Amino acid sequence: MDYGRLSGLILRTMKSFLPTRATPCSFLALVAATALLPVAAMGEALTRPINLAFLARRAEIIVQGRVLETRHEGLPNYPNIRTVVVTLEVERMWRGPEGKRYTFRQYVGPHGWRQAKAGYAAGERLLLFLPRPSSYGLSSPLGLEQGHFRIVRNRLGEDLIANQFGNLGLFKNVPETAERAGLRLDEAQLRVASTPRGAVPLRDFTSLVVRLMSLPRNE
Amino acid sequence: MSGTDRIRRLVPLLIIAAVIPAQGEGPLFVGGPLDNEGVPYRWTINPLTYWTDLGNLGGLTNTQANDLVQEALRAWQDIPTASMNFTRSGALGADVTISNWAAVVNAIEGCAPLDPDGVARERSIIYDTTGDIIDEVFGPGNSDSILGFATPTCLTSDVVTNAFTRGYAVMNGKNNPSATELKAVMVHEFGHMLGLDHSQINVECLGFFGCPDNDSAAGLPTMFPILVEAGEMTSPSTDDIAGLSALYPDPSFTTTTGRITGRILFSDGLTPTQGFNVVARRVDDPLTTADESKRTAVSSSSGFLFTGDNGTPLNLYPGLSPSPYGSRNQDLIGYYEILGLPPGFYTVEVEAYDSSFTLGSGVGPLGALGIVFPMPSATCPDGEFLSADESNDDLCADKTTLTVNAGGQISTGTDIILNGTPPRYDAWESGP
Repeated sequence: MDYGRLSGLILRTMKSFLPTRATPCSFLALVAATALLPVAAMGEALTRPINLAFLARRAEIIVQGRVLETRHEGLPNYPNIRTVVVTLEVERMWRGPEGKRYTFRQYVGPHGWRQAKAGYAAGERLLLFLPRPSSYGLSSPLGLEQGHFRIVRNRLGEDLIANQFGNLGLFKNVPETAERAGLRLDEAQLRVASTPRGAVPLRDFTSLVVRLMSLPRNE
Repeated sequence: MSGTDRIRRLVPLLIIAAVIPAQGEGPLFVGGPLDNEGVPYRWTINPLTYWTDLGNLGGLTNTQANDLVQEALRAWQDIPTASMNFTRSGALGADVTISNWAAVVNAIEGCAPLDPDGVARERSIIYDTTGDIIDEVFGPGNSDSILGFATPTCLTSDVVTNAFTRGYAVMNGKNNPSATELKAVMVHEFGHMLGLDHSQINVECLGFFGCPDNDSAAGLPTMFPILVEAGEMTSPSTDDIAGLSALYPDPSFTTTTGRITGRILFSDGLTPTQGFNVVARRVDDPLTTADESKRTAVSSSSGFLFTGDNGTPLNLYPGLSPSPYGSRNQDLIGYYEILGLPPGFYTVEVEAYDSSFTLGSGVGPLGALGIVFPMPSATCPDGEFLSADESNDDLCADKTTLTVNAGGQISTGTDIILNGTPPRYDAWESGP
């Protein structure tokens, strides 16, 4: 089954499970928040909530692209430490090295199946906020699920984006942070930044990210 | 299509359909066909011995950190209906730092006999003094958001039990977290080490400002997927108590508490469905100022003993074999089991898992895969109660009260039929 068919099947089955009065927006938000399955992965980690300003300021790599390949293997010289090596076809490198592809290695924890299944799926479109690789060559999205976004196109041809927390708390205090730094957000950026949770339009989201990338890096 | 065939086809399609499901505070791992099928994994060592790191933890000295670990473990040990004790066996072979963490974790996860002169021990509690280890494992900067991680590992099975034999936890001391926050992280992470999954109770606490009231906070499980109320999450809630007691029962567990078991079904009243959160809440006592329905609640995930990966035709992960975990007994697909209820009056409700709870923060066998289902009916978006005349078109708020007695089990009249699903899976599959 190719990925295009898979996406269609997911959309169809989800639609049939939705309330009949669900609006297109709620449906699409739902799809974006959940549909394309797999994600990041450390299983049993507990994280502190972080917002988009933190992500934009602290990420060394902000990459948008499509998953080309995933490879599950042990960490070099430490074969019992399981990792996944992900290669993206770069659509847009918002911050980071230029190139058509970007590859990184992520720790996935000891339970190969449980965490590996919750990994990355070939074909899905992502936007990742990544740190630079550690000295062991490892990097996970900042805040794990919080820095790992999926992009889904709706039936109107609009790209929506949500992280693995369904953008819960993602924009909390973002307008205030921008204002304190003297950054002026436009109407669309403010609209996105006032979203309590749920998927938002990719175009407005990336516009906001670019704006926030000018925040001081290490605050 | 026969009923059996229908169920066979249902499972993979449920997985595809996704929006997040989970299993209440159930087991983290359940045995599959190659183990004791349908039996949760647990520790069979009691008291459970552990070894602690040699360094400091944030602003805590090594001695203070050791004391806090002991205090966090005691939160689980002191549960009267559970029988699990902990003993510190000593210190690790050396301070774990960025120079040796990989060797330590590699040795533990290798499951081969450990070098007695090495650093790693069977159950290692690692103090990441300034977050450097977390930055090495997850990449620089992640120590500002990842508070800790832990897992049991090296799973084994004999004819009687499915057991963990090793485990480790890494606690982040960066930014000098408060003792309360550190303890909340420890209690949560040690819960995972003991074999507990995440749990969803009082999901209203996910708001921007935490729990809306003291009652919601009081009922918030320590195993809630996100740290929202550190003060409350340092001590096990009724749900946590039930979860641990189910894995490590004291004889008093079955005699002093009651249980409710049943199934969650599609609107046809026949087809079981996995991945919904089922919650029994104590009926509020109008004579008290507290809201007992928020304070005393226990959850279960429908299908929590069933596999979350039953031969789906979708191969999103080339090279990976199907899940070894979870029963393949189809009778368990929609089965829920709410244990550890203090005697009293209860209602039972079914709800969707929050869409924020996926994968690492997911609940249950499907949540770990990033799958969550919404409630199917537009009229019951927040869930529906078990009613006396349960049907596929009953009012979502129509509820029946069950009387739970000590040592009692209620298992009839407890199936909940979801409103608003397609009548048959075929219709769902081939729908518009």
